[in-house]
Amino acid sequence: MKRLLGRVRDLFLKPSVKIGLGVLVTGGFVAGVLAWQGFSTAMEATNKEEFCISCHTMHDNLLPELQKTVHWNNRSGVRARCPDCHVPHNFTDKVARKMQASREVWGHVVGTIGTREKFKEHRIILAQREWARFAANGSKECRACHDYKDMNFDKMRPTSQVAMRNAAARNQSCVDCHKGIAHQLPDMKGARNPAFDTLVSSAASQSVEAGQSYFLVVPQDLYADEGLSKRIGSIEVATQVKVLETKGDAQRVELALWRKNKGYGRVWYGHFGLNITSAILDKEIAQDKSFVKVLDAKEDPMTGLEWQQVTATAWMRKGSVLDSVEPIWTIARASYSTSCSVCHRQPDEAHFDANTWPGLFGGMVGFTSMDADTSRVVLKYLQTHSSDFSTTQHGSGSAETSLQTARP
Amino acid sequence: MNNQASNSSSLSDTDAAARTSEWPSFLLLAFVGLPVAMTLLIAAYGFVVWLLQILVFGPPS
Repeated sequence: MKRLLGRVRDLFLKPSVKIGLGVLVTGGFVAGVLAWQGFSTAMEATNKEEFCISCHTMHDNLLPELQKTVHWNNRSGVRARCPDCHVPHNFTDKVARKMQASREVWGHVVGTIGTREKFKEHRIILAQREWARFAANGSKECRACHDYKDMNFDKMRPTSQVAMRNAAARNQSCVDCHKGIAHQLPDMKGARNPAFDTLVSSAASQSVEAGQSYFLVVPQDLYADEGLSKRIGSIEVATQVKVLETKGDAQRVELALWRKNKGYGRVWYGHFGLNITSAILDKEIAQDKSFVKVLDAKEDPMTGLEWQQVTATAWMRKGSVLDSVEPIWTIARASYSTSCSVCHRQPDEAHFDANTWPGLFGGMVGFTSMDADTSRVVLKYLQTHSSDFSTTQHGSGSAETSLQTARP
Repeated sequence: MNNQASNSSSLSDTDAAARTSEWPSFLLLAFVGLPVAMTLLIAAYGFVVWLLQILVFGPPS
């Protein structure tokens, strides 16, 4: 080892005795030119469509999808190739992206997306990664060809004009709206918001004490027995429950909620007079007097409906509660502000009351990329931070007092 | 230079050996060693930028 180091030192520090300086410099110059040329040839070769689709995952999944779009074939004969959109064009980011591809090589070796089924299942993760990249750089790669400054808005259809002029004024990222433009969109329905994974893992390590109140981090099924065999309903995310006991994998919880004394009384709400869904029970159990205890009844002056304060105990799988609801709202808040501000400034949470939000939100959520779980959390977040609760942050039992002031 | 080299007796041997292998060493260094080092350095640079993107900066803006 020492000998080797010595030889390397000699190689660099000892002047040459046989070869002239000019020959050395010329030789080094030629070698440098060749090396750089070779390097950029290699960079170009790995930036070719042929290179991308030489891997069967790309060839079987993404190429056929691209071939159906205008980016593959159109009347003007200009087309986009994989790296035009997916590899940054400047040197540093390009090199970083090439190194990032080591992850893709690893995925290829392990076979993470080796089959069409696996690919479809994994697609949402891949898409979100790419969407995050486009969101961060303002869809720079799209705009190498389609830039706002070169667009003639007058030649667009009138409906497009409105949207595009507004987008140009905001200098908005293209992919904010044009998702799925060159490939199929991921199946959003089965998608999970990755933000929930951290929530679920912190819930798994949450120590639970009997008699304390906790909040659900994901929707759960409710069961009549500790063996979790007889399903009697489901409980919504961010609902507060009191844990009574834990047996094996199951947890007995007490629900203290409100319901409308109308129909079967299957849907239970968190607060009097506010349609914030907390639990949904099966028909028979909701009418079972031995299961449901009615503590109080009040009439809602707005609707003339009688609301009952009810309580019940049920079993659910353990490991999905947290002692604070704030982490859930943090995710909801982030999702609300990013998804809704894409097209307009999102209204203040307290701008509407809890019973107005569901209609508004239901009308708008279709324009966003929120998955089912996320949209439920966001709606609940908006309702519990609505004008009905604006005086107190968490509305812990104070809904009735703030209700009076919030309504005319 | 030669004065310095002759200070130790064993060095003159390696000196002679080095003289005969000067051309091979030069070619090896210029056309293999340094290009490989360059590629490795650029790769390392890429990895460092990627790591920083993950940990500090977020995706390039």
